[in-house]
Amino acid sequence: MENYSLEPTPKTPKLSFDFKNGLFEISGRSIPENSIEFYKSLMTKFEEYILNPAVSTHLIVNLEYFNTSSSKCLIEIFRKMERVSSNSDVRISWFYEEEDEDMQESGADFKKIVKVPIELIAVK
Amino acid sequence: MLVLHLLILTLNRVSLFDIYKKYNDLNDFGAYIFGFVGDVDKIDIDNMITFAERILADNLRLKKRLINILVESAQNLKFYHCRACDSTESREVFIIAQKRTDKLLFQAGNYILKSDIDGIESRIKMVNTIPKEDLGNLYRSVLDYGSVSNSGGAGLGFIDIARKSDSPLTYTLDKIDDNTYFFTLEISINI
Repeated sequence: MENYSLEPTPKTPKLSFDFKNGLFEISGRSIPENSIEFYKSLMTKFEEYILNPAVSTHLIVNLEYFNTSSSKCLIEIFRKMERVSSNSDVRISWFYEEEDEDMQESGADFKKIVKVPIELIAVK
Repeated sequence: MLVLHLLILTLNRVSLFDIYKKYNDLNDFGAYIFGFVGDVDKIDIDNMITFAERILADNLRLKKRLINILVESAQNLKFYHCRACDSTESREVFIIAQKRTDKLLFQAGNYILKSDIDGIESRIKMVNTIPKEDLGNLYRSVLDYGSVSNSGGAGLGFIDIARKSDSPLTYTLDKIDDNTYFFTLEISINI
């Protein structure tokens, strides 16, 4: 299946989803007013991927800021990662700046909810 | 006589509330980080983020916290203001962020429908009543089980703001007319 990628803007993140190799990245700012609309196409593509995933699937999340409506989209993406995990070796890496305790806490929030491994990684 | 009658009718419709006066009264320009007063469609979040990043460059925690509160509050403000659009001709809102000696003060003001007041008040009272450590449980519970409304709201806005605030959320209501009020939310973050 074709890869899905979007360039970052001041309000929306870079999306890089290499479906062939199972390498995914969400990075930058995710503060669109309508997050559902922004992530809609990705969600559709992801459903296709779940049917025939790569041997391993690695999602990198490296966000500077995100709003609460984006957090609902992120949880939906993580739920899809849970579904992928029955046919693929799945992991999620949540990057945050070392002093950014709020972003660390957000990663910990997701880690408590989601049933696939989320590694919290501090960046200096 | 007709002119006097029209004048009385007009005076009855026009509120004494002046958003520009309120903005100026609340704003201590010496402590200014960013501020905006004007048409709701002209809010430039990107510009305010740039100012916050520049002024708070040496304190990552404060900078990120303020920007998160700004983003979340601006979306709440637009949502409730738009619901009141039909009952008020005014399109103005304001946003102010100031750095005081011991805290950052963030204020956002917008027109709201009287019928929305109960919902907003109950959300604020709820997040102010719940101990800080339990707000995390509530946030995760809504994140896990809540749904997203048609407007894109996730029901997490006030919970997220309260988690990032260091004192209870406070608000004021100025009556505009029987259907419309002006709502001002105040949030503070310890430095």
